[in-house]
Parts: sequence; structure tokens; C-alpha cells
Amino acid sequence: MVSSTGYTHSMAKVMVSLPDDLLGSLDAEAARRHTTRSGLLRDYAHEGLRHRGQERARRVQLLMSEAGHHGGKGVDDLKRHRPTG
Amino acid sequence: MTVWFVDASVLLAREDADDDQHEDALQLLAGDAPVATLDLAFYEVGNVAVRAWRDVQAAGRLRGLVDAIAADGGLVRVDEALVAHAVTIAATEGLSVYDAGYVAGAASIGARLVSCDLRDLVSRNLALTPRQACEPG
Repeated sequence: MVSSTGYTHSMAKVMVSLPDDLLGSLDAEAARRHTTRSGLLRDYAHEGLRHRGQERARRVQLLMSEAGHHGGKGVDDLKRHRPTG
Repeated sequence: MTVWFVDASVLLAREDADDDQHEDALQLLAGDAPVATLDLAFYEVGNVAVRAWRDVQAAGRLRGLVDAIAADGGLVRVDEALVAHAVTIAATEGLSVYDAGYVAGAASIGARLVSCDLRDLVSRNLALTPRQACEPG
């Protein structure tokens, strides 16, 4: 079902607290993009979540391109070398 | 959306090409779904790399892996409340407080724990393996 906003997903209304100057900047950007404050915040939320996950994935791929061979006993190694007091 | 909380064994599996869960651990850690871990993992993976594997380069890569999760907002820090919960879980489930710490860490953010520890965590339904976590649906 398509709502009057044109979105097919259910949408919650939330209250967020923002400093006045940040809200002013968001409104100015929303006007520049010919969108709404809510639409702009949705876009930024999507973009922020996607970007952070992608950056983590990129770093994981880069770091782990040189994985070694250690015998496949990671759990045993982990437990054997924990302090026992 | 599920947040996957990985313990040190998953991070080690990604570094160890001999591990059965090696590829699934990569898929999980480099996937789209949000990932988190406990700050304890910094010490645990470094300890295994240096003490068991004698591989300082692996220690560096593993440290970077935990840091990548931290930079993504996924590092849960141990505090008094988390340790208290971990002690309770350890006593109830017969786990070490280390293992219980990851269980408590996942619970603290409403995440699902992922581990390669079949005997103590997966078999008790306290965690999924990386392979299970990567399964669709």
C-alpha cells in the first residue's frame, strides 16, 4: 500500500533534539535539494549507515588479504592462553 | 536488522586460513550487516597471535580488525554492570567469565552473539557460528 507520502514502508514519527544552528543548516540544505527536512534526514541516515559499514568492510578486506595458516585451532588456542590465576 | 556480536574466536578464524569458519568469518566481518565486539577482544586476539602463534604480524592485522569494528561504532566497553552480568551468566551456565563476557556484551546492545566455540557457546544456543549467521534469512 502506498501512503500519501509516496512511501511503501511503515514510517514512525520520532522526536529528535538538535542545536538551532544545525537545524538551520539542515533546513537550508533541504531547501537547496528541493526536499523536506525529514527526507534529508532519511537520506543522511541511509548514507551514514552504508558508508560506515563499507569502510569497515574495506578495512577488513585489506587487513585480511594476508591471512596466515595457524592450524585451525583458534578456540583451543584462545582458551589455553587465557590467564588461569 | 540483526547486529552480529563477534567474539575473539571469529576474529581469529578470519586470520587463520586453516580454520573451518575462515571464509564465513570474512563474509560476516566484511558484510553489510552491523558488527560489534567487546574491547576484551583486543587483548584476546593479541594474546593468541603472540603466545600461541608467535606471529607479531598477525597480531597487528588482528588489532587492525578490532579497530575497524571500533571505528564503525561497534566496540562495547567492559564496565561494572557488564562484568556483573557476565559473572551471573558464568555461574548459571558454567562458563568462564571471559566467554560469559561476550554473552553479556551481546545482550547489552541487543545483538546476536557469533562464535566458533561449538562446545561452550554454540551447543548451548548462546551463539551462532559464522556459517549460521551468514545463512540467508
